[in-house]
Amino acid sequence: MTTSAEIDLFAVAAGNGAALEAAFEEAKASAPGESVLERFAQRIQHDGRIAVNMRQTVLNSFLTFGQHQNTYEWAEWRAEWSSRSAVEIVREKLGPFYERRVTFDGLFVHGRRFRYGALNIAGLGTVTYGEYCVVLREEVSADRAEVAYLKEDSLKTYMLPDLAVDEASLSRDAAPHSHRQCLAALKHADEVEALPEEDWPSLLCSANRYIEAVFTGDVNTGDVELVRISRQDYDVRFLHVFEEFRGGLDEAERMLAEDFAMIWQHLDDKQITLEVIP
Amino acid sequence: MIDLLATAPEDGWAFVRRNGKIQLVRPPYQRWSLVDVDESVVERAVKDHGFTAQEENVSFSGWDQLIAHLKRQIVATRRAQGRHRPQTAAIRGLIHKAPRKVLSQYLEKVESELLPDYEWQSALDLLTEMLTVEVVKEDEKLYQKTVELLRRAQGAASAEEARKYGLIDEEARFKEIYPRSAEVHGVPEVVAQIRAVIQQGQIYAPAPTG
Repeated sequence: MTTSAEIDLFAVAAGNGAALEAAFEEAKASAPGESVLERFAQRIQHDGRIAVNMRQTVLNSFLTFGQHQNTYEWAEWRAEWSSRSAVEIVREKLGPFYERRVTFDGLFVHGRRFRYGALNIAGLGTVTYGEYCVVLREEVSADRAEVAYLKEDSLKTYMLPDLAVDEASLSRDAAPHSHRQCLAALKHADEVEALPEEDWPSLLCSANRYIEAVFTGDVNTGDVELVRISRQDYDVRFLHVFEEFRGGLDEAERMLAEDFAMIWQHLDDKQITLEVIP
Repeated sequence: MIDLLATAPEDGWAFVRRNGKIQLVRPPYQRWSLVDVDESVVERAVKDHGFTAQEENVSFSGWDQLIAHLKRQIVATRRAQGRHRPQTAAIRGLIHKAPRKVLSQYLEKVESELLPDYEWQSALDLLTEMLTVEVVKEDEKLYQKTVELLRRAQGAASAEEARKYGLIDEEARFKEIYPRSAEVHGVPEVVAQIRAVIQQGQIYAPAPTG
């Protein structure tokens, strides 16, 4: 049931398509290099996927159990074999961020079911959240009714100090899947001209700057198109294999190396490509 | 001081505040893996990416102390899950997934590090395993280099063992130093006794007189 205070983010995004398209056409017309902006948008339309960055144990858990969990789902799962309730587990986990988070999620229809990712066309994504960039198949976003893209990080940009949502900005900055390329092009119109095309992926999605993807529905390992890792992280893992022969790893390093071996086995079993990015 | 803001203990990741800057610290704990972030990243990490906010003040005097703490947490979280001893075979088995370039680097490291540092057994273990790797078996150059290094490692290991017992090419010297023992007991017999003494750690008894 939707309360009068709840915002239907996906309906807002869906209703914004025409406005985004018009703004995009205007931006193209006034841009000195119209074709560059068009090419950027086309690249996003063709290659744009939702990517979720995961740390090693998160990825291992996802590949092992087969399903992605958001914070609430994880807490409910933990509560099944704990003496504490899911609410208590979430409260402990989030600490000083608890009230803000729960309030934010409560402002949206299906807010507790939200999953978060970033719009990605290549590259390593938002590596501050995990060294593995898990790229979801296009069907995950194209075929779902509840998908929206926000120009900026929702918590950082659209939440006001009094724990309300800046609905005006949200309405302006939300895009449905069909118009994500318009949103991206409008966001980066001033920058894309001066950048070579090989820099477009990091312009669109990097550690501190990205277009946020918000979506609902299950995500399982069959939804994964590929997983990316940096060359540096990849090389360190194989250096550790060498050191293992030498007895040169400490216990923590051995445990992490073993986890990487488990991940590799899962990826092999599920025929998911591990792409190494320089 | 380095103040802990949030952690993912199972992975050894942490957001810290140091000299007014917020940074992400994570394995392999090298300079390139240290990243400056703003506070909103920490909040998002806690809210959506499984990090736990640090409620009590925890500080470290330096990076070494912080990293040691994070490594202890990696170990502790796994032990709590009943995972006590990482499987050597699983880790070593990754060699079969290594690309050609990495395998080539392994051979370079054997030659430049393991052999000069007398790490014979490590070299032998690694090179023996490499001979079973498909990429090596299918690459003539890699295969031959692996075989060459394996022979060198085996030779060096044998020579080292012989040096330890002081035996190879030492028969004549032995007769010179211990003529009576060599005459009475015979060189092979005395050599066998010497091996036993070295292994047992006992002092070699003088040969009987008369």
